[in-house]
Amino acid sequence: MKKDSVIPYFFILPIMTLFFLFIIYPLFIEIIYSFFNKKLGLKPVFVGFDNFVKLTNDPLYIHTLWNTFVPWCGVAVNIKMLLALLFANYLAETTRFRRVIRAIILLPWALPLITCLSAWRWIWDPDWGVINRALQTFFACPPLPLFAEYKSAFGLIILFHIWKWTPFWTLIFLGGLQGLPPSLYESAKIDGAGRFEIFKYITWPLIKPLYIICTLLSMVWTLGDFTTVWVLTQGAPAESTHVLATLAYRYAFLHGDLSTAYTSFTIILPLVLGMILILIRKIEGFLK
Amino acid sequence: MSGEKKEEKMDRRKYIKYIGAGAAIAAAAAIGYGVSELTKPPPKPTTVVTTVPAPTTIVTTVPTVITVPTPVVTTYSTPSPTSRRITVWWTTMYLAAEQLATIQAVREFEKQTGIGVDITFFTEAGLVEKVTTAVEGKKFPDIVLTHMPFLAANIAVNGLLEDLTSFVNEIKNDLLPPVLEASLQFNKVENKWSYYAIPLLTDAYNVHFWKDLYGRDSAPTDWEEFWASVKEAHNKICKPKGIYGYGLTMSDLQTDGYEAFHAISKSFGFDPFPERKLAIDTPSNRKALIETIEFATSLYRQGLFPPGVITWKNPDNNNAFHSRIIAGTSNHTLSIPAYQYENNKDNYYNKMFTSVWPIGPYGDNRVQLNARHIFIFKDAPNKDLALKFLSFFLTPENYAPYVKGYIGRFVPILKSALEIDKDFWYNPKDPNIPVQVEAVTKRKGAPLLNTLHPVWAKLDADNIFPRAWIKVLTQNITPEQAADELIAQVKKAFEEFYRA
Repeated sequence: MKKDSVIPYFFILPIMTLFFLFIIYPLFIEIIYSFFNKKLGLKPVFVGFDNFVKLTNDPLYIHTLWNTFVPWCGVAVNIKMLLALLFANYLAETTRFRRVIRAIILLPWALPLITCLSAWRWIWDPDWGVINRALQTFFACPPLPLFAEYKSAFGLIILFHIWKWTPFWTLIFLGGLQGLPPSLYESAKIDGAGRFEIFKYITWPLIKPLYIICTLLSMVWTLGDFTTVWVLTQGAPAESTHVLATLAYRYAFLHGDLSTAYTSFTIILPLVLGMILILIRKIEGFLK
Repeated sequence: MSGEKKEEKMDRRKYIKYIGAGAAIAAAAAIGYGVSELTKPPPKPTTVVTTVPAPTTIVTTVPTVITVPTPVVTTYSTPSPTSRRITVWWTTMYLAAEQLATIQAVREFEKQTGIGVDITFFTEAGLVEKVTTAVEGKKFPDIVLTHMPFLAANIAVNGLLEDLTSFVNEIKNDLLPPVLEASLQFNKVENKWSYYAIPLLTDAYNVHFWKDLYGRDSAPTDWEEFWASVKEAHNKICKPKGIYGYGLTMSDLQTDGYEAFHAISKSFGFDPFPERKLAIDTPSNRKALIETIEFATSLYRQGLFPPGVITWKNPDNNNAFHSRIIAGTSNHTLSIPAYQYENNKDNYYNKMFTSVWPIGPYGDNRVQLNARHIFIFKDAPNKDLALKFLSFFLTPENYAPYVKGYIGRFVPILKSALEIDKDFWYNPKDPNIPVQVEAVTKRKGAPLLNTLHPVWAKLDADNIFPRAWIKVLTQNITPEQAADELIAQVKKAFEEFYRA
């Protein structure tokens, strides 16, 4: 009996070791160092809540929090998920050229990220970008340096995010939609329900748990996305397009100020953990 | 039915048995190979070169830039089982020839000293990340060459670098004077200034022109005449072709933007750090800042620069020049002519030229110099060997061919190295290299501020200076407001530094 209760722990020991080494330990270090002044290569000095006070009084940090949670994890993720659901519905129904259309829609997701980001910058480049060149040629528009202004620069970041990641979530929703019982749709059609009614009364109630799980998951992933913003703008112009990941990089690697980098994420940790807990609950509910 | 099932089960068992036997044989073979490899006598020293794809820029004659992966040497080591080894981290260079020059020098060092070298090349940002994690993990390399000025400053300020004063004293008389100035770093832990890093390479802020697009074979050195000539070229030659007279990087991305800002501000007499003491809020400095902001933004508004200059990254002015959408540009190092030298000698010798940065409107003839620092960690495992390596590199006969291998992109920091290859550095037929050498040796060299103090390094890492240009152009604030904002930011940063 005793042997039986020990053996399972032995089997999960490797994964638990990795979990503690790569998840729990870094998290622990992050939280602890948030209460210290930790400069590159120097011993940490305890400073209490100083880092938290400093950051929450820093307009750049507050602006970055806004960027991260409102346009980035809020607007970009939600538009993307909504579009993904629409595309998935379309692909689930379309019969003609279905495979070709699916392949085309999924293409952005399959392309390498860095290549796409570099191409995205070039496309919008005011001097040699294809869009500006077309606007100049056909509409005599002056070249627009869109990455030089906050709103347009962040707009382009969001647009890229939507273009790049909508296909992935489309695929997930498509899988979900194809798992729904066709008999429900057939009955609804016999009863004379239109497309909107079918979506409202059948598709949405059934797909809703999956949609919420995917949205939360996407928010958590997007929160940690460093590459998109860094390659497109590096936080410019005037550090206005930073998200938390890029701002933390700036503190850690450009300033050698590790404690501020840690604290920038520790502040939002309760919120992220809350999101993850809700996500887990939703997944558990979904599986039941 | 049950018989079929039984047969199927037996088949599966057989299958698993065969797979198991196969795996056992493979494992035995792998172990055998491993044992034989481990018991082998050590190999004779042979060069190991690892190549990985790294982006290289290919520029076409139309304004299109293509990046393709080409093999670039990343890690180079010569296994020498008997001798000691040092770990060297180097910044990846712009041209393949530059890495080859480094590898050749390393090979020579190994040959002469018997000390093995493990050299790894990193991108600029990659090196910063690697050094940061190495410092935190206390796994120091022995010697590092960086092109990011803030890196040496960030590490020196925390007292992590070896004081190279005695070494610098040995070669002091041979060093170009501004180099010495850029070597002096602040150690806040011990509260002292000392030679913690040596610029292995230096370079000036140069101007390059296409002769046909500029309509001249040389550029005036007088400020007003210089910009009048650029305007003339823009209006008469470039504008009708739909291209631009000049490409001045004005963005707050990467390093070219702040280098341009500092070069122009120096021309207007901006001197905020005389004798390493902050004096940014003097009326003359405020005026110089306002003029710097006004000057570039007004040229931008006049359409003299491509509209994208406010979003350009470091390679973009190079690309615009090679693509001939600008008649001229300014740039640290001779990377632009060096590219043409490698790809089109006719362009290099006959169709383009380099000029010194013009003398400022009030007669300020300082020319901006950059420093590419080499440093040794205080806790490096092989500090003695690292010093040997540094000493080898900076011996004129070893150093001269190394710098020459960069096709003149940088200027040697040793006067004697210039003398050794006089024909190369002062070749009268070369329209580019002697110009930069003259700028470095004859004009009054002024190192970039970020080489002089960790706070300037931090401010340039944040790119606060060119941001003033962008704010004036995109947020409609006045140059006066932008200048006052800059002054306040700099003062605050210094206050915080000394308060902490």
